[in-house]
Amino acid sequence: MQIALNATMSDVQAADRSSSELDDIDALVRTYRPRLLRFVTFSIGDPDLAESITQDCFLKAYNGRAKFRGDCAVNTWLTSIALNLIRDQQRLQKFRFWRQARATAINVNDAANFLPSNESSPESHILAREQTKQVQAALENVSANQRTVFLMRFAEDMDLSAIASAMNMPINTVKTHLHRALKSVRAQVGGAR
Amino acid sequence: MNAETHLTDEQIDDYLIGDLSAGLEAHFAVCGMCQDRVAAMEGPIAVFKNVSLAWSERQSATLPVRPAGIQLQTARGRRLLWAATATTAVAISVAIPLAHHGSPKAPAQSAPQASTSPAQTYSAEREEQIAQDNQMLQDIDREIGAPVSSPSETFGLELNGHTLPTSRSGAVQD
Repeated sequence: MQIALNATMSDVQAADRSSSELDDIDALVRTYRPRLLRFVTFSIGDPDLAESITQDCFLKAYNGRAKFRGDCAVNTWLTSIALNLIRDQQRLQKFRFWRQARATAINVNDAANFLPSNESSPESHILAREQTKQVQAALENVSANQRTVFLMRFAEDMDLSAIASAMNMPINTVKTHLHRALKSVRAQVGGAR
Repeated sequence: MNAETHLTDEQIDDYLIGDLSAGLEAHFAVCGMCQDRVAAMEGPIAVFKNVSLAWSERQSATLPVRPAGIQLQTARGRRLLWAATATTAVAISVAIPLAHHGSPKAPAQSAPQASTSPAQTYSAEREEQIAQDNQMLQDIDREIGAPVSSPSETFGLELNGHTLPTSRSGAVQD
């Protein structure tokens, strides 16, 4: 699957990153925060809590940067840290977490307004809004693990082995989660056509 | 698989995941219908990816550049640096007057000058001290070496017909 990458994203995956990259916190945040914020936000469905977790993630990464061995991309490492923070948050306040998530759910119409200008014709804008809404609805109907592996694979472009490592689960389990998430997407997209 | 047997939904998903077998890849390469089905899934996912990133980039731009903890840490580090600098400055300002006060000689001359290194100052002080010591030894030698009337001379004593030496001669040697 070839999906055009944003310049920031292609920078992220261009080459191996050394741990020295982690020393410049300002550059680190500038480069990786949008993607990390997206991952967290669409994993938990709560933009406010996602901001807090994302900031915590950078703080944790910066303080623990000496532990980064450079055997994976920085974005993958950051995503793994964010995943642990999300799980901690879910363990700590499971019920309040989801109630709060519903109360402050992401406004997809609002999100569609931020499309790049070359996709902002009225028709493409409406279509993009509709398709984004469909995928988001599909993700709301799957389990947390299925949603997370979907985002890792199709939003973060992580390969299966990296996802398996981050999720601490076998690759076949990752594939099963992906199949279920895609089935949910197909149901939404197909049902709308 | 022949051209009329199309990929199942699960196989389409395998392709999307990146896990399609080589045999199915060959079918997919020539089957327009299966390619359309993949595109029908890829399109919304790609749009979701772009829209969600555009949204999160905008959200990210509204957040402070540095996480709060790192700001605090930096500020604390800065405070520690200031404290260390201030302590050093106080220690130096106390130590210099004490050093002057403790010096037995003229402080203005013995105080280290900006252009003089401590090693040079110490060497000069040592040479001065050595010169003083030598001067003192020479004075002692002079006093000791001065001609003194011996008792034999004073009182005209003789030993076996010889007059005893009247005085010692020669300076004290180190």
